[in-house]
Amino acid sequence: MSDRITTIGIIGAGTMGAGIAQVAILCGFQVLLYDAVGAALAKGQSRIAQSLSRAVGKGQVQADAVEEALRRLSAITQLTEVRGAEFIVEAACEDLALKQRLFTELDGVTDPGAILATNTSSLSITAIAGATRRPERVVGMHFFNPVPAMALVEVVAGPRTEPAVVEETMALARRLGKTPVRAKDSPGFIVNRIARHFSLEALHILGEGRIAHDHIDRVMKGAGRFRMGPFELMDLIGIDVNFAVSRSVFEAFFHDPRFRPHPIQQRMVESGLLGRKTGRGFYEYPEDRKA
Amino acid sequence: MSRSILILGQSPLADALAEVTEAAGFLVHRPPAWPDTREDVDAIFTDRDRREQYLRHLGEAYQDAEVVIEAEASEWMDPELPESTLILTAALGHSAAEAAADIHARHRVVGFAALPPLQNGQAVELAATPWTEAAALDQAGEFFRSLGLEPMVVPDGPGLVFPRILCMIINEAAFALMEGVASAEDIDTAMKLGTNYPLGPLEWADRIGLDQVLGVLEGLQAEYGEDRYRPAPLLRQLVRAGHLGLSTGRGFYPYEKS
Repeated sequence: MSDRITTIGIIGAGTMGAGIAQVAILCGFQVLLYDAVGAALAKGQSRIAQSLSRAVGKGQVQADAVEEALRRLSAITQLTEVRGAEFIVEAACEDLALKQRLFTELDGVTDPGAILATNTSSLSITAIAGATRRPERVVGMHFFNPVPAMALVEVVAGPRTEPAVVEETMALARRLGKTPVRAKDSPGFIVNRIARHFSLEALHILGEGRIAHDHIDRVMKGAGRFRMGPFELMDLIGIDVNFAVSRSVFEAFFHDPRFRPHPIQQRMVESGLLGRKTGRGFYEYPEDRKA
Repeated sequence: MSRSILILGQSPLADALAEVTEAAGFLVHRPPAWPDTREDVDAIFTDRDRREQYLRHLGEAYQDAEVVIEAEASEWMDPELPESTLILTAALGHSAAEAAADIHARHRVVGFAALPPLQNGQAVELAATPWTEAAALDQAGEFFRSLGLEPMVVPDGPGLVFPRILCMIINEAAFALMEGVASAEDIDTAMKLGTNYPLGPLEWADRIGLDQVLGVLEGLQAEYGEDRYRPAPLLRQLVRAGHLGLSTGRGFYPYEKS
């Protein structure tokens, strides 16, 4: 059933879009990579090329396989050029209005049989589907960062998504070498919802003022065998990113107190202490500090 | 002279501690659960016959025990323990201070928290009560090191650090399951592959004991009075039905009877 999919259109050449494109071309798919901004499109292509060349260097993939794969990648500058794709993955900014505009356009441009998937991590599939006349063919296909390394894909059904579309998306995810799971359209789906407490509860403990953040991290790694503690993880992903997801899930659940973000997060973001990317978050990263 | 440990409680944690202490060469005594009710507990204090019956129930090891571990919230009293006995109380469903308040030799009480499965090198949290003497805290650290576990001192409170955070994660997984967001298998797969958790939250709960998880959440809710700690109704329903996890053959998942 999903063997009919040979060409994937990817909307957005940022970290996620480029990562998905890289995996898809290596798995034998033709990829049409689109970005509205020329510089972003170029950066996405070079990101893919660099990442694949690193993989060759590590012996993870053969150089000739990479050459062949890169020939399957086409950068396109007009959205109408995704016309031939049987499957679209939208990986643009987490902005509902923008995604809805894109989906309305994609609805008009693609074949009626095409499946329109969104990589959104926090927005409602249902709301995005509402911008099309084919909500039954709109589905969430949520990849994890970094895409080449993370096996999980959450396949998210809105109330009108056809079960056959869900199954076809699951099958495509497997063809991309991923392990898909099925989720209902609900704030945070599975991972972003359940994982909230790893950081939120840690922030509450920190906020009680009796134990330091590095001690909490050591306890979580030593007792729980987690790879990283909550504060190390927040610094890695970005305290601002974590805060934004927390706020989004909190709003989407109409302020259910379980999801209430913490003032400590807000103060860190306001003071520009975002984690590794700014050279300092809960911890300091002198090697990451920009001059 | 063999080093004797008394473990009170019937939880998966009690079982895991028994295994680890036996492997480390201690002599482990595990009396069956008793007393059952508040009246039984009060009777032990006031009625000499009941008290003697209780001490017989705990066995001769009671007076010889180097360490008494209360691995599960149990109403037990310590009439006349030797001064050298260390009392470890699991700070899961309540803070160590709450348990210590009921114990005569409260200066010998140290709170601890660990969750099964217990592996070599794993950390165990220790918490001092307002009355804990330094020597007891040191002795607790030494004891856990002798079991191959790494002690880490944290502030007292229900669930200490790791059980508190994990039970909130498990609770959210229970809400998601209850609401039909995803199947139990998909929830666990997602958390292992999407965020590198060592175990999925639902299978982890089955290993800890759903009643233990519920106890931590209720303890947090009582301590802080906050709605954020309210247990998922599904969790309550499963515990009420006696589906506590691996130990009862069914929790969030069914298990083959071995």
